[in-house]
Amino acid sequence: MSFSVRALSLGLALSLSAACLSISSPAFAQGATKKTEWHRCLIAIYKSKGQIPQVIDEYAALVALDPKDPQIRFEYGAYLHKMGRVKEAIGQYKKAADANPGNSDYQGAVGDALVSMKDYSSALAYYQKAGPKFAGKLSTTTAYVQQLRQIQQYNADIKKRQSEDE
Amino acid sequence: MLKVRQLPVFKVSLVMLSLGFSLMPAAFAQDEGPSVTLMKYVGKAHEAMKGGRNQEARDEFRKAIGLSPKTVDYYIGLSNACSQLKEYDQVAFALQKAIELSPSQKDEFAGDYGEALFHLGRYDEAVPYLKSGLRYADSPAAKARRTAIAAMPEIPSTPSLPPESVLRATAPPEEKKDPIPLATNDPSSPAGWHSIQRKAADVDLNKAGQTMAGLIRSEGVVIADYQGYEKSPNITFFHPPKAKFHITKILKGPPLNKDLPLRFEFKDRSTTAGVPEGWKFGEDKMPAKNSQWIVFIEWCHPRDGMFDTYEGSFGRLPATEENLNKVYALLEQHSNR
Repeated sequence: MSFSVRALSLGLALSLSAACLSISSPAFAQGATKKTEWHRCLIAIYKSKGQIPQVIDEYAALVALDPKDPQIRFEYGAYLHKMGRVKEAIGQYKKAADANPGNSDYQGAVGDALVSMKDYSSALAYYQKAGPKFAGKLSTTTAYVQQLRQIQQYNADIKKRQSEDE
Repeated sequence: MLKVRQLPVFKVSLVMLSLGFSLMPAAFAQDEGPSVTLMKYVGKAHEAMKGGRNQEARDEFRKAIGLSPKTVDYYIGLSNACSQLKEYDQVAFALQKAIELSPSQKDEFAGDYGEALFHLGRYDEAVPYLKSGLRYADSPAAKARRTAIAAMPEIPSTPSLPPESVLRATAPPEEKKDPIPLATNDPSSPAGWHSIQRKAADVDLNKAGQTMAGLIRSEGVVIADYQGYEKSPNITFFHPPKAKFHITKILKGPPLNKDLPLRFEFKDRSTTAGVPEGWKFGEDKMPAKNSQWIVFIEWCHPRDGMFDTYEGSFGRLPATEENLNKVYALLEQHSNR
C-alpha cells in the first residue's frame, strides 16, 4: 500500500483543519461570562475616571445580563449607596437579599441603608436576619430604637399632662 | 466502479474532505502545503490547552506561528493560552496581530483585546474595544457563530499521523543547503564578531541546524544599524550593555519601533563555553558604529527594556550580501516573509 505525497498533504491539511476548528476566540467559548467581564472592565475604568453616569449605565447593563445574580445587585447597590442614591441602593440590596436570604452581607447592607434613611425599626429586622456578623449593630440599633420609643413616650406624656392642666 | 455498499462511506469521505478544504487556514494557500511539524505543534498545543497545560500550549502556538505567521487561528490560540496565564501583554500582542491579519474579524476580537488593554492599564484605548466587543456579542453574526460552534461535532483530540515509515517514504528528498556560517568568538578578527569566511570551513551540522531553527523560531528578524551603547561601569561578559540599534528593514515579525534597544550579549548561548580567557570589556568588543546587522529577535517583547537576541551573540549576523542572501532564501523557503 502506498500514499502519494499529494494525498498525504491533503490528509494532513484535513487533520490540521480539524485541529484548528477547535481554536475559537475566547469570547465564543465563554459567551455571557465574557460580557460580564467586559462590563466589569468598563465599570472599573469609569470608576477610576469618576464618570458616575457611565458606571451606573454599566451596572444596569450588568444586572440586565443576569437579573437573578445577587452579587451584581449587591455591588450595584453598594455603588448607589456610596453615591448617596440610598433609595435606589435599598432596592438593589433588597433584591440581592431576597435572592440569597442566607447571605449576612446582603441582609446587613439593607439594614445599613435603612439606618442611613433613619428607618431604624425596619433596619432591625434585616440586622436580625443578618445574624452574628451584625450582632453589634443589632444591639446598638435596638438600644437606640428603645431610647427613641422612650423619648416619644416621654414627649407624649408631657403633651397629655399639658392638655389635662389646661 | 464503486460498489453500492461503499457509497455511503465515499459520500462521508467527500463531505469530510470538502469540510477540510473549506475550513483550511488561509495560510496554506500560499504555502506548499501544511507541514508535519506544523501539524505536530498545533496538535500538541490543542492537547495542552485541553489538559490545562497553558504554558506548554503557549509555547507550541508560538512555534506554530513561527512556521506559519499569517494564520490567524494560531494567534487566537496563543491569546487563549496567555489569557489563562494572565500574560496580558502577550494577549494584546496576539490579538493585535490577529486583527491586522484579519481586519474583517476586528469586532470579534475587540472585546478580548480591550480586556487585555484594560489589564495593561491602557484604559483610554481599552474603552472603544470593550464597547465594540459588547456590541458584537449581541449581534446576529455572533449569535450565528455561537450556534455553529455549539453544533460542531466532537473533534478527535489529536489528529492522527500516518505511520513513521509512511512519512519517511512519502517525504520529498531533502535538498542539501549550505548552512549559515556561525559566529566566531573573536571580535577583533578582521571580519568582526561573525567571521563568515573563517568559520565556513568548519561549520558543524548541529549548529547549522540550530541557526536555521533560530531563524524559524525567532519571532522577529530585522536588519538594523548599530548606533552605540549605554555606557556603564558594570558591563561584564555576563552583564551585557544595552545597545542601540536602528531598524532599517523588518524581514519577519511585528512592526517594531525603529529604535531597537538590544541586550548585546557576548555569550554565545548555543555553546557551553564560559568567559574566554583574559576577556575584558572595552570598545573593541562592540561593533563599528553604523555597521549593519541581521538581528534574530527571539521574542518580540522586551525584557527589562531590552530585546533578547536568539541564543545570545549567536542571534546577530553582519548584514553582508552573502548572509542576507542566505537569510532571504530561508525566509522564502519557509514563507516567513
